[in-house]
Amino acid sequence: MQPSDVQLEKIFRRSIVFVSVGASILAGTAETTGLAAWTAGIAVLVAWILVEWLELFHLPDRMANYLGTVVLIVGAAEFFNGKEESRLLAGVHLLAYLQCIVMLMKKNERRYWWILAISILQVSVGSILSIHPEIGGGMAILTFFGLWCLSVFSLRRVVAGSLDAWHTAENVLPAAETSESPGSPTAANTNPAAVSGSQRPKDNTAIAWQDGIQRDPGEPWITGRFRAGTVLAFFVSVILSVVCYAAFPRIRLPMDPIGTRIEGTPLTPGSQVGFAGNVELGGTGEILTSRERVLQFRVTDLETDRAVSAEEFAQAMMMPEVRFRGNVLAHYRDGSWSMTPPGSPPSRRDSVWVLLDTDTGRSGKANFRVEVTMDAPVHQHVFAVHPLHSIHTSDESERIVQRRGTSILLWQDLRERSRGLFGQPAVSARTSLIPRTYSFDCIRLDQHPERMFHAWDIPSHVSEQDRRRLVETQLAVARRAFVTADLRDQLPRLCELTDTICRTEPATDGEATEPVADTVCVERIMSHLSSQNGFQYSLIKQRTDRSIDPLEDFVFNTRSGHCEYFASAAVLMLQSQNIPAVLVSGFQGSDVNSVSGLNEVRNSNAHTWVEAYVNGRWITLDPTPGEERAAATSGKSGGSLLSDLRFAFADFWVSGTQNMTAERWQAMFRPVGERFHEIRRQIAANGFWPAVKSWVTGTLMVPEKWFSWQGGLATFVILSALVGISRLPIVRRFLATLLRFRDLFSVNTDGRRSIIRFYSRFIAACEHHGLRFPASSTALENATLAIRFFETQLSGN
Amino acid sequence: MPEPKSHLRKRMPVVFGASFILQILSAVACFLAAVVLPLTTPEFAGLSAVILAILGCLFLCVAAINLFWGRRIARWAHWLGRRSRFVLPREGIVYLGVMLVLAVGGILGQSHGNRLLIVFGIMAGMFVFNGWCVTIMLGRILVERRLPPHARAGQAFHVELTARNRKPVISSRLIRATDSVNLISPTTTRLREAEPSVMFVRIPSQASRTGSYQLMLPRRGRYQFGPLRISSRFPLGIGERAKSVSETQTLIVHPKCGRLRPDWKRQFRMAESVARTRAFKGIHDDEFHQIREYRDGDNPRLIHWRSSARRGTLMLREFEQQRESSCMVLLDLFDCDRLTAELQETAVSLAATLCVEQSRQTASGNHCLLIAGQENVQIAVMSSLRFQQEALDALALATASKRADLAGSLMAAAEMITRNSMLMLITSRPEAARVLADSVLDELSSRGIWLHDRLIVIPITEESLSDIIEFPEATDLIAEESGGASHAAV
Repeated sequence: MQPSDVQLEKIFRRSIVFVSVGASILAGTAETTGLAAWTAGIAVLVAWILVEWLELFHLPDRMANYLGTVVLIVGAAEFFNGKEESRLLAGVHLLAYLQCIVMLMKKNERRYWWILAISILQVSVGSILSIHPEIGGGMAILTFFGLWCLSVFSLRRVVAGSLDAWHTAENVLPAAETSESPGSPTAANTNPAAVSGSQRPKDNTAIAWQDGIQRDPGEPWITGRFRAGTVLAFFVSVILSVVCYAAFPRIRLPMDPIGTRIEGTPLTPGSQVGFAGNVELGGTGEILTSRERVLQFRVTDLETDRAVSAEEFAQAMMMPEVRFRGNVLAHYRDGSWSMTPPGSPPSRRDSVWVLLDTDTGRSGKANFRVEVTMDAPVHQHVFAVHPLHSIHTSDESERIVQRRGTSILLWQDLRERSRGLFGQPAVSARTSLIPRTYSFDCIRLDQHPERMFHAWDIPSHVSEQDRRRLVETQLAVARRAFVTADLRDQLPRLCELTDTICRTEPATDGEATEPVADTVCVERIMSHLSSQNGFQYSLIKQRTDRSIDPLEDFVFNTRSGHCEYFASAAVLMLQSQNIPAVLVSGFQGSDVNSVSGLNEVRNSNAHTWVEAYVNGRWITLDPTPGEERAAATSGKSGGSLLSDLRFAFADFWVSGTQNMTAERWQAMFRPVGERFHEIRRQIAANGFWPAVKSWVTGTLMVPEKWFSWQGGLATFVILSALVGISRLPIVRRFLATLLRFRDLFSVNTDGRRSIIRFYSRFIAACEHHGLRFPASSTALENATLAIRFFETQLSGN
Repeated sequence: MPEPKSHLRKRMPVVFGASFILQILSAVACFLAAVVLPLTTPEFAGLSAVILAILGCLFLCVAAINLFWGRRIARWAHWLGRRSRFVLPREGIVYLGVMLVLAVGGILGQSHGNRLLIVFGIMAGMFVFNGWCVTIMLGRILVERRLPPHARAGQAFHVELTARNRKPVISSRLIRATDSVNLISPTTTRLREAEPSVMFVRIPSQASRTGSYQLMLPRRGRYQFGPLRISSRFPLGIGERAKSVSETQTLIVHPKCGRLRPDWKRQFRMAESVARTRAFKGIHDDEFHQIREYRDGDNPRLIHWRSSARRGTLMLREFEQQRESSCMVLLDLFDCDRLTAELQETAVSLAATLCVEQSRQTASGNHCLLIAGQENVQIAVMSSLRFQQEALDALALATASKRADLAGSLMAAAEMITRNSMLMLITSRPEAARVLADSVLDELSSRGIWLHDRLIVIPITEESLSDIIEFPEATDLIAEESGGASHAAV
């Protein structure tokens, strides 16, 4: 074999092993995590090293058959003993075993095809097992290398097919043992001695032939042009793949035993850091160090129908930054926060929800619409700006409800058959691995501040006396629900401190101090927790005295912590003064993704703040030092371009895979169908050509339509027409005339053409005199041959 | 690994090709759309569903026709001018099968279906891209065939194919030009069609490349080359597009030439010397050539005194040896039971060998070949080269017949025979031929032409032919005739 052939063989083998190892790793990654995910890939690689690289041994066919049988039995046993996804995993394992067996065998063309086919199946099964965007990235990489591998495979088949073998119409005779390269075009084309070097067919009853191969001498198989072509082919293939995928009709049949099990995992207590029913103090700090995205949102001004930046929206909603409210916790015990007093059963009030996905009963018109996509995994809580006007989900199988009292928003799965305590559908108890999309409307608060916390608002038609009584009732209810009962027993030092802060200054006449008003008390507590008293923001969890409560340790010793410590201290200090207060967890702040243009909220934007019931109203308080928090999280909240690209790809993946429902597919193509119906009506009304003319001109005359699907279709129609016209014989003749006319005025072209013409005449003259040149020789070699030939001829004469 | 040959597919009673699979898939898609689409999209109910169902039925019918009469339809289509087709190789069929499985899984899977459809989409995209690519690769490609002027049976020769890429920008890669070689006459011999090919690795834009394949035709006769079919699977090899690009050409393949056995040659010369009528022409039976000056060592008896006297110096008569003997060959191909195809070929080869030997030995003379077969052929040419060419052409196409007119051929031979000529009658009916020849020769002797001792009858039997002629290995012949093949490069 020539060196280029050997090089091609090497490249092909490396490509195919890369594809097979990649597919094995992808399937393994979809199945599990960690080193175990790489097991199959490593096994395939080791098999290749042993058989192909080191050439230590190869599995005989008989042994491979035995092993294959054993593997099939093992796979069948795993399949029939398993349940649902275990059966799928049995398939994954079977494919991995088969890949290893084929890798251990001596390869031929058919086995290489087997390796590729198994790789495709591994990718397919891996795509079923996992929904992570990383799988999509892996598939894209494998698509490129699959293209590369198949292209190199085509070249390799040419090399293998150019063996110096004689074929007959009956069979193929083996190649002769010749020292010459089997595919050498020079040998095949010009050297008669090569003819006698092959084993000729003895049978003289059938036509025998030897295929030829024409290849420019010295040209390698893998050139830069070939590589560039493969890259171009990849991009074209990806576009075609997207078109094929999008055009495939989504017909869903009601049978899916695997998918529901894979996509929903039961919600375990504590799986949501900071957003569960019980939260340990300081837990939020864990997610503050993460940069994973939680949700992305887009704000639209409903009056102007234009996009609004997050800053504008926050300003209109009277917030320092856009704040997504999530969980609400009110009761503290032994370093943990809970929604209800520990040990007490849930009250009816806590289990009654308000349906919010309708505008009915809402007064006023919303100003903003916020469209939110929550990234997977999606837990129970719905994050939204508070107060909101209404909230909507696109999925009919679920809805969002608001818990009365705390106003937290929760997903409610309408498919769940189990009922809640009081007969209502239970809130979703399952963590969804599919991103969820919802939108909510808000009324701007800078113009309507009275609408803040409208769930606790007292209607305006209520008389003053009733209002006062209602306020007292609400206060009593709030104190029962949102004040920790045995706080003075739990945190005596904190209560004493708060008492000291919230008492009037002792009078000079010795009069006992009196408690100040709630508003003053709130101000003093907030002031006490400021940096003037040595409190500082820190993400480092510190404990100096483990014998006391962690909150007292924060307030009296460390004075260093993150938002949860500050907010917890404020809530408990307020509750110690019998002021109803709750700890609210959520997210504050966002970044703009430079690729998608959407606002993104990450884990590092997690925040905890305080809501307190003061003077008959719920107010929001944030004791965390804002500047210090911003400084501490600025390096973590911002996303790099790579991160933005990653999230953009993840969005594209999720949008294209999980969210591509049959309904969405229909919605995607509905405008096309409607447009065609309209065109059909126009054709029926006006005739074909006038309708087509008006459609094309209507599209071309409106620049907005150029970049729509209509513009694309019009461009396609026009280009197709142009191509069709250019293929007409009369047009081709005209174009050829034009080209000749151009050549007349092109000196360089004419010069080149004259040289070519001379050379053609030279070759024709030589052939006329009986001298024929080999196809592979250059012009210079031909000239030398001609000199020798004609010298011989002339001397002979 | 060699490519799978199409003749293997020919043995199959049905044509299980790419078009059939695509038609079946289209039918399934139409039925599926007709039944399921209205459930989710009401717009597809009613007339649209009926149209889809009718389309599905049509696809099924076309697929069934294609399955059983596909090859015949392809021939008709080719005859009608449809010269392009898409072929699905075995790998492509497997590829489509995997795609089909994924599509079904995508439809059945409620939640994970989209991910399976992504894999399906990737595979479909690559498949479409491959189809698009092979269409581009074959666009504006011209292939021309250059045949040698003639070939000889059992001897390898090259056929050159020149592919020209007329595309302005794009190179064409991995273009396979497949020729079709078929024996068309004599029709008594049947040979399976051969499909030699040349693979052009890369043909740059606006350029041409020339490659060749080797061919060894076992039998003499007229062979048809073409139509040429160019195809490409580049880049992925999962779909092949092919089209016919060239008209047919024919090539006359001369019969195999062997070597006359030395024993027989000796016997023939003896018979020739006995029968030849001697005519004194020179001192050693030689013919006068020229007069030249005397040199030392020349025979003094050859001095031409008259010229010497005229010139004043000794002049010598120079004679040229005359060994030419005219040999007429009459091949009688009477179709009888014992004339097997092999014997017939050997007899034709013997006649061809005799003609070639004759033309080699004498540069000029009365060369004559007569064939009594399906047609009576008479070739009498003075030029040896021309005689060789015409004789081999005639022998290439000679066919046995029960109506072989030996008497007519004998009469024609008698008219052409000269005093030096020997008449060799190669016949499959030696007894009858001898009787017939005797009667003809008697008639000639009555006219004063005595030919009885100049007739050599060679019966077409295995024993007699093997005594006269032998067929060395083709390699020996090539070595012997190096440079004889017309294709040999300079």
